[in-house]
Amino acid sequence: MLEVRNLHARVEGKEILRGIDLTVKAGEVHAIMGPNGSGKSTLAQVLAGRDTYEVTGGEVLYKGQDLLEMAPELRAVEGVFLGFQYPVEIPGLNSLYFLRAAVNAARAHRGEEELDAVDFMALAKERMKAVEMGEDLLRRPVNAGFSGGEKKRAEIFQMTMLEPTLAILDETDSGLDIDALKVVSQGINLFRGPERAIILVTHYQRLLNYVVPDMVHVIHNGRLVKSGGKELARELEDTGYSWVEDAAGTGTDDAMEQPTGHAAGREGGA
Amino acid sequence: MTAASAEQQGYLEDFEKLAARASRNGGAWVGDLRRRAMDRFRSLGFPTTRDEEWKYTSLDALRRACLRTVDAPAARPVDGSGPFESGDWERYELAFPWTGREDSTGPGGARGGATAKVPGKGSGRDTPDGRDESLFIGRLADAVERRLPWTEAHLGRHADHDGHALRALNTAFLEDGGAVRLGRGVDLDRPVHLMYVADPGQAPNRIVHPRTLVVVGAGSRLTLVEAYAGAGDAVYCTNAVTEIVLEDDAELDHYRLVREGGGTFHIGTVQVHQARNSRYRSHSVTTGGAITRVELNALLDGEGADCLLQGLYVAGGSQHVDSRTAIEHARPHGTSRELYKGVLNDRARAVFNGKIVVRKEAQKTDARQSNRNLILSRDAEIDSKPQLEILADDVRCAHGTTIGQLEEDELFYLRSRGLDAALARKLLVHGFASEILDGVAIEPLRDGLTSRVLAELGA
Repeated sequence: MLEVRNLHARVEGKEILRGIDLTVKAGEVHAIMGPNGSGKSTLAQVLAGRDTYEVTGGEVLYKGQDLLEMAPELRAVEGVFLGFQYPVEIPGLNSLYFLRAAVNAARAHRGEEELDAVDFMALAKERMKAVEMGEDLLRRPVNAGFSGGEKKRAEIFQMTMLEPTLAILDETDSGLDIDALKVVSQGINLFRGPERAIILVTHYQRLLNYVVPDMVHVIHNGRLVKSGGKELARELEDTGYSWVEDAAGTGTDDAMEQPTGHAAGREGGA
Repeated sequence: MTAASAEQQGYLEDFEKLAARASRNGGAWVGDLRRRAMDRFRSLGFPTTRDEEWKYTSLDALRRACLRTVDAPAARPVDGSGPFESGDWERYELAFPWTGREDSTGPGGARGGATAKVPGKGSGRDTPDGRDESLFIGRLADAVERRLPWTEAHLGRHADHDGHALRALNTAFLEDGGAVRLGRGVDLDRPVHLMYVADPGQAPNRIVHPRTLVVVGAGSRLTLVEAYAGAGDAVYCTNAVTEIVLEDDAELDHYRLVREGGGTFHIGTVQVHQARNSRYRSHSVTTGGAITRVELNALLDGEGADCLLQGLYVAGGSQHVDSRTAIEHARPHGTSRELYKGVLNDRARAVFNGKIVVRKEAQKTDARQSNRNLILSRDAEIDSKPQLEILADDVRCAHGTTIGQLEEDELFYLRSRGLDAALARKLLVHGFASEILDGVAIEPLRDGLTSRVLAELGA
C-alpha cells in the first residue's frame, strides 16, 4: 500500500528526514517510535502533504501512485488520513457542515452519491458512540474549546467517518488519560481491517498495549534505525531511547531536535 | 455667499426645481431646512483628501461626475422588486425604487417612486388622555405633508449638516424615504423593511438622496431592515441619511445592508440619538459599490443607554469601502460594544475609523471596540484607526485592531480532510464573517447575506 524510499525532507533549510525507507502493506499496523525531534511528526506531515516541508529526495508510492505529486486534498480523497497531533481550532466553522463536506468530497471522488443531512447525521451518531463522543461536540465549531482528549477523540471519529485506507495517527495518545486512551484505542481497533493500514506515530509504548502493532520502527535523527516486531516496543519501554542516542553517537536531545546545519546534521547521523 | 463652483451648478439647478415643486408640501420649516442646507453645501463644496475626515477616501470622481438628481417622487409607483435576496419572512415593506429605463419615464429621464405594503396608516396624533399611541409606517413625504408633529421635531435635528457637505446635500434634497414612528409601548409584530433600489438603466450619472426618519417611542421595540441595492455597472450615487431617535427604554435592531452596483458611490450617514436606558443594536453589512462610505454616529444622551455596533465589509476588485463610527457617551452608566470585521481581496482598500468619546459627566461608561480584518490578497489594503477621547475618569474603555491572513494551519487541516483549496478558503472566510452574520436574527435574511458575502469573494 505504501512504499517510502530514501525520503529526505527539510524545513527552513534544516534537514529533518534523512533517508526514510518504509513499506506498509494492507492490513498492517506499523508503529513509528522515537524521541522528540527525531523526525516522526515530520514524516507524518510530509505523507499528508504539508507544504512547509520541502521534500529534497526519495519517493513515496501509495497504491502504486506517486504520493508526493498529489495535493493534500487529493491524498485525502484517495484514502490517506492524518490524525493531527495538535488539531487546529476553527471558530466559526460548524463541525457538522465541515465533516459532511469532507465525507462528501471523498464520496464524490469515488463516484458515489453525496450523503444528505439526514443520512449523514445517522451515520455520525453511530460512529460517535464508538469513541464515546458527546453529540454536542458536533454542534460546536471545529475543535473550538475542545479539551485535549476531546480533540483526539474527534480526530478518531473523523477517521471512522472518512473511512480512509491509510491512517497516519500522529501522537494520538499524547495527553490522554487512561480511560480516554482505552476509548481511542477501541476506535482504532474497530477501524482495523484487511484492506486498511495504520501508521501509529508515538513517543510512548503505552498505546501499543491496546493497539498491538505488526511492526515497530525506531526513528532517530531522520532515519529508521531499528525495526522489529511488537516486542521491540517493550524493549524501548524498559530501556528508553538512550541506547538509540548512544548508538548514534549524538549529543543532547536539543541538538537532535534542531540540527544547526548540514555539517552538524551529518555528524549526528554518522 | 461664495460663488458656486462649476461642479455645483447642476445641483443648484436641480435644487431650484425641487424648491419650486415642493414649496406647497408640509410646513414652511421644511423649505427653510432645505435652503439652509443648500447654502451650506454651496459654501462647503465637496470634501477633499486634505480634510482629515476624508483623508483616505477621495470623492474627486464624484465631484467631477456632475451627477443630476433623480426626480422624486413619481406619480405612479414603480415595481419594487429589485435585485434583492430579501427572502421569505414576515415584514412590513416599503420600496423606494428609481429607474432610468425608457419605458417608465421616456428618454433620459430618471424617476423615483414608492410602493408600500404596510398596516393601516396611523393618525400620528396623541390620544385624548395625552398618551401617544401613534403608529406610522410609510413615506416621509407623506408624513411631512400631513404635518405629523414628530417630523418637525426630529427631521434634520440630529444629523448635523453644518460641517458635512454630503449630509447638507441630502438635507437640501430631502423629500422622500422611509418614515417609522412608534408611539409609547408598541412592540411591532414584525420587522419594517425599507428597500432603496436603483435601476439606472439608460439614465446613469444620477444621484439620489434617500432620507429615513425613525422615531421609537418610550418602551417600544422595533426591528428595521434598511437595504440599498443596485444592479449593473452604471455610475450613480446614493447619498443617504438616516435619523434614528430612541426615547426612554426604547429598543431597535437595525440592519443596514448595502449592495450597490459596480459603478456606484454610496455615501451614507446613520445618526442615532439614544435616551435613557434605550438599546440600539446595529448590524451593518456592506458589499458592492465602487466607493462606499458609511458613517454611523450614536449619541448616548441618557443614563444607562446601551449600544452595539456590528459591521462586516467585504470588498474585492478595486472597491473602496470606508466605515466610520462615532460613539459619544454623554451620560453616566452607558455601555457600548463595537465589532467591525472586514474581508479584502484583490486590490480592494478599506478604511475603518472608530471614535469613542466619553464626556466628562459620562462616568461608569463601559466601552469596547474591535476591528478585525482578513486580507486575502497581497495588494489589498486597510487603514484602521481607533480614536479615543476620554474626559471622564471612572470608565472602562478598550479597543483593538487586527489585520491578518488565512491561517496556513487551518487551510492544511481542511485540505487534509479532502476539501479542495478553494472550498477550504471559502469555509475559513465564512468562519471569519459568521461572527457578524450569525448576529442577524432573521434567518432567511442571514442565509441570503451569507450567500452574497461568499459570492462576492468568488467563493
